[in-house]
Amino acid sequence: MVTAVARKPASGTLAEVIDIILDKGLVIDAYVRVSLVGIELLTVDARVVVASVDTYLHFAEAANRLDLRGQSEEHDADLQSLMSGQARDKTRGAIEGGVDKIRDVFSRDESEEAQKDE
Amino acid sequence: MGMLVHGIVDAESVPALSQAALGVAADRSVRWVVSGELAGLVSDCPDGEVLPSRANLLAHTRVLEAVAQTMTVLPMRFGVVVPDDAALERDYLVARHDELRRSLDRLRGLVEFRLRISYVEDEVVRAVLEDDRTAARLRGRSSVQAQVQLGQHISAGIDARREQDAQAALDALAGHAADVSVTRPLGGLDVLVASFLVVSDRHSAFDVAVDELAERLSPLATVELVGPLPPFSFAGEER
Repeated sequence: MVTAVARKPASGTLAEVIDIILDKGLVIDAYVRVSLVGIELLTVDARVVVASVDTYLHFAEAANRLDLRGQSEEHDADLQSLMSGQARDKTRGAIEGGVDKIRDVFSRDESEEAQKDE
Repeated sequence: MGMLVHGIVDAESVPALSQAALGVAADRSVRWVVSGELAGLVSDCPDGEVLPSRANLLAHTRVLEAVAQTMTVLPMRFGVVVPDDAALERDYLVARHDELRRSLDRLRGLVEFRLRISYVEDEVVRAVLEDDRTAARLRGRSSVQAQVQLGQHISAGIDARREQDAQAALDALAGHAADVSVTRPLGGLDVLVASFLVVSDRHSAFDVAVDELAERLSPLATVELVGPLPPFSFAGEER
């Protein structure tokens, strides 16, 4: 399979090189005369990706819409073996107990939300 | 009144600079200030301050891009403004002469390429699901809590892969570059953003290695290569 690398000149993709142009290169300390107010916002915005519930929900959505052909049987088998093995595994039981607690909290929130919506 | 400084070149190279080509590239008048062995490329900026507007950033990039095609240039960070020719000569070309000379010699014939590897979302999520059965089980559950858990699994799976894939990419390419500068990881779907200092030969071993890397990563991730750039990430003396 031939895979093309996307090759671009710098002037055609300012967004790709803006952090280099503003952050790298030589400086004459006494003569930096550019307002950095807007730039800081811009670069901070682009660089920091915070792991948030939004991010997680986005990935979950991506996972849900995927068509995992040929994998469903395997996973059904996994699920069965997991369920039958549950009692053996105390550690897992403890973790799932904790998860149940969280689930309670969440579902309480959800039902409250639902009541508010009505 | 002031002058925006674009870059420093060897004074011997100056005759090769075409004012016409530079002016067209930058959409403004570019000239040079010669001092001994060195020359500074500048353009006038009437109000003495430069806003980081798209037009100004592009002009700076284009001047340097045009110059870098024919000679070694030490690029300035955008936004360095000197009051006049005398100040540029006295405070920089003379004051920092030895350092600039060394950098020009060190970077002769070398250019910077900016590489960005990004995961294709569906492909990487699929790959994580294949390895993470708990995540696969959580698919399709309707509760918010199960969805957040699923997302956390996917996110953690991508993070784990990123480390491996980024290192493998660096290992594959570093041997073909004179130097490498890795940008702080961006998270999300970015795998690696890094600058490579390479010989300015279109068909260099580096180029071939990038093609091979892209082939290996397909369809999991895409590879983008920006350049050639003047060696922004490698021009400083401290490197």
